[in-house]
Amino acid sequence: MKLFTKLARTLLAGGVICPWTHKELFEALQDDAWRTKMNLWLAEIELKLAESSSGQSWFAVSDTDDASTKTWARALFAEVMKDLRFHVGWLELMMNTMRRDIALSPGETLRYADLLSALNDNASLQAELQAIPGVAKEAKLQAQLDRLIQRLTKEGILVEANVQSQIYVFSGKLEVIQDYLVFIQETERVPIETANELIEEQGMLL
Amino acid sequence: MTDRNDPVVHVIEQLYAARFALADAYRHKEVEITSENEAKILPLLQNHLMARTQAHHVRVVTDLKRLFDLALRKQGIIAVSTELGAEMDAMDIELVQLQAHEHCDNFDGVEHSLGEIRDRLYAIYDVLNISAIQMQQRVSFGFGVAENPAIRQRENEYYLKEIDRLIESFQQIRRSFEREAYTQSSAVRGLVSNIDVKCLSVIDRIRSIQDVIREHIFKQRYLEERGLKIRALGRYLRDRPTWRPEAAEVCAEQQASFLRPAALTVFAFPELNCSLRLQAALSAIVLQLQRQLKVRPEGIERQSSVIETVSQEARDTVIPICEKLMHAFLRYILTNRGGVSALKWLQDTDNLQSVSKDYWLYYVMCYVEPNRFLGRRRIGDIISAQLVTSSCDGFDNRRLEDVFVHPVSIGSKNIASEQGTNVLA
Repeated sequence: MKLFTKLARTLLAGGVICPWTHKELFEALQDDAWRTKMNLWLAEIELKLAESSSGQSWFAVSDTDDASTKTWARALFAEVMKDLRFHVGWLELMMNTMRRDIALSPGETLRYADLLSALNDNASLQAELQAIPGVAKEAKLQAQLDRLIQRLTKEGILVEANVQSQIYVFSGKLEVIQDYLVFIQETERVPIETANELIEEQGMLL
Repeated sequence: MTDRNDPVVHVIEQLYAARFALADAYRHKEVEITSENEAKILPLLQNHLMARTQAHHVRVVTDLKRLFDLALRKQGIIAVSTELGAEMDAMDIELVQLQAHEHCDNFDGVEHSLGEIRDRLYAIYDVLNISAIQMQQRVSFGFGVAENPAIRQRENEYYLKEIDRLIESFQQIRRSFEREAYTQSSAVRGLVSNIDVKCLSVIDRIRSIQDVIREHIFKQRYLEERGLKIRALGRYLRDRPTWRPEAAEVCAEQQASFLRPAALTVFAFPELNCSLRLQAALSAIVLQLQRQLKVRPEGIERQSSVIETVSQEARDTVIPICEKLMHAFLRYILTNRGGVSALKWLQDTDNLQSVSKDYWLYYVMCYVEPNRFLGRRRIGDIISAQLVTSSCDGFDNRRLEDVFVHPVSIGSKNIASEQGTNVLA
C-alpha cells in the first residue's frame, strides 16, 4: 500500500500517529512537504493535521467552526466520559507503582515483572488496581493486571516492545488521553493540592 | 553482638561524626573546621582520608575523592576537570622568559618561548574544550534519566555547579590575558586572539548544555504539573462518584483532541428515478424479499395468535397512502374492464397532492409484477402492465413515463396501438 494511502486511512480512522505505533508514517509527517500534502488533502474534507501537546504524535481534527464540529466534539466527549474513571484510575496506579512524581510520557517503557512485583508488595496498590472499573472481575491479582494490560494494549495505549520479556512502551495515545483529562481538570477548575498540603494530609492521617 | 572496641566500628563512628565536614571538604576542596570538629576528624587524618592544609583547614585527599568519583561515575556524573591553574602558572613563567629573551635579543630563545606559550594556550583551550565536550555528551545522553527524584535534583545541582566552574575558568583566563604581560608582545597578542576565536566553540557548547538542562527542567516541571492535575482529577472523582464535567462538555470543541474523527457514519438515499435498469434491479430485490418474507406455501393456514387475550388493546394498522390508491386503482381497472394509464388515473382522481408522480409510477411498476401474489392469486393472472419509457440522457438510461395496466382478458396490442409510444412489455 502507498504511504499516502496508509497515512490517509490512519488519519481518517481517528488514529494517532506516533513513532512507537506508526514509525514510517510518523517519519513522513516530520517532513514539511508531506505535512503540506496531507493538509491540502484533508482540507478538502474539512479536516486538518494536529499534534499532541508535546508534539510527539499527529492526528486529524475537524477544521470547521459550524455546529457540526460542536456535535462531533460532544459525541467524542461522551465516548471519553464512559471511560473517564478507568483512565484516571490506571494512570494514577502506574504513577504510584513506578514511584513517580511526574506524569507518564510516550516512549516510556513498562516492565510487566516490575509492575507485578510492586503490586505484590503493596496492599494499597492492589486496592487501587481493584478500584479500576472492569478490572475487579478477575479474582487473582495477576489476572487483574493481565486484564488491565490487555485492555491498554487493545486500545493502543501500550505497545509490545518485547513479547518474551513482557516489556511494553507507552504510545502517543497516552498523551492524547492525558490531554483529555488535563482539559477536564482545567475547565472544571478541579483544585490541585500542593505537595505541602498532601504532606499535611498524610500527617493528619498518621 | 558487634564489639564496640572493634577498630572498624571506631572508624565508622569517626566518619559519621565528621560526615558534614567531609561533604563540605569534598565540595569545596578545602574547608575551615571548628576545634570541636577537628578533634573528631583528627583520627581520620591519621587514616589518610583527609589532609591538613593549614591550621584549622582540611581537604579530602585524592584517594577519598577517587572513591567519591567512583560512586558518581555509576550515576554517569563524574567530575569534569577544569583546573587551569598549573597551565597558567607555567605560561606566566614562559612569559617572563620571553621578556628576558627579547631584552637580550636572543631570537632563538624568543622563538622557543613563543612556541611554549602557544602550546600552553592550546593546552588551556583543550582543557576547556574537552571539559565542555564531555559535559555536553553526558548531558545529552544521560541527563534527567534517574528515576529517583532526589538523585535527579542532585544531578541538576551538580551540573549547574560544573557549568559555573567551567565559565569561571573561562573568565579567569580571559582576565589573565588582559594583563600587561600578555598585551605587551604583539606575537603573544596574536596567539591569544587565535585562542579567543577557538574558544567561541566552547561558549557555544556551554550554551548548548545550558539549553539542554533548561529544556529538561521545563519538561520536568510540565510533567510534574500534569501529574498533579491527573491526581487531582482522580481524587475529585473518588470524592464525587456521580460527578459529570458539564462545563468541559459544553466547550469540548476547544480541545483539539476532541475534534478527532470517530467512526465514519455513511448515509445513502436511493435515487429511484435515475435509471430504468436500476429500477428493474430494485424490483428484482423487492420481488426476492417478497418471496422470502411474505409468501407462504399453500395449504398452511394462519392460526390465531396464542398471545391474544381479552385484555389486549385494539391496534389500528395504518395503511400507506400508495397502497390505498393502488387498491382503488385496481378496483377501477376491474370495474371498467379496460386498459388504464396509471398517471392519467392519478391526475383524474386529484391525488397528485397525496403522492408524487414518480413515486406512484414506481410503486405501480413494482406492484404489478406478474409473479407477485394478491391474496392467493398471482397478479399476472389478474392484470397485466406495460411500461412507457423515454430516453433521459442519450445513453442507455431511460425514464419511466407511465404504466398502462389492464385486465388479462384484454390484449396489450390494443393499448400499444392506441398510444403510439415506446412500450416495454
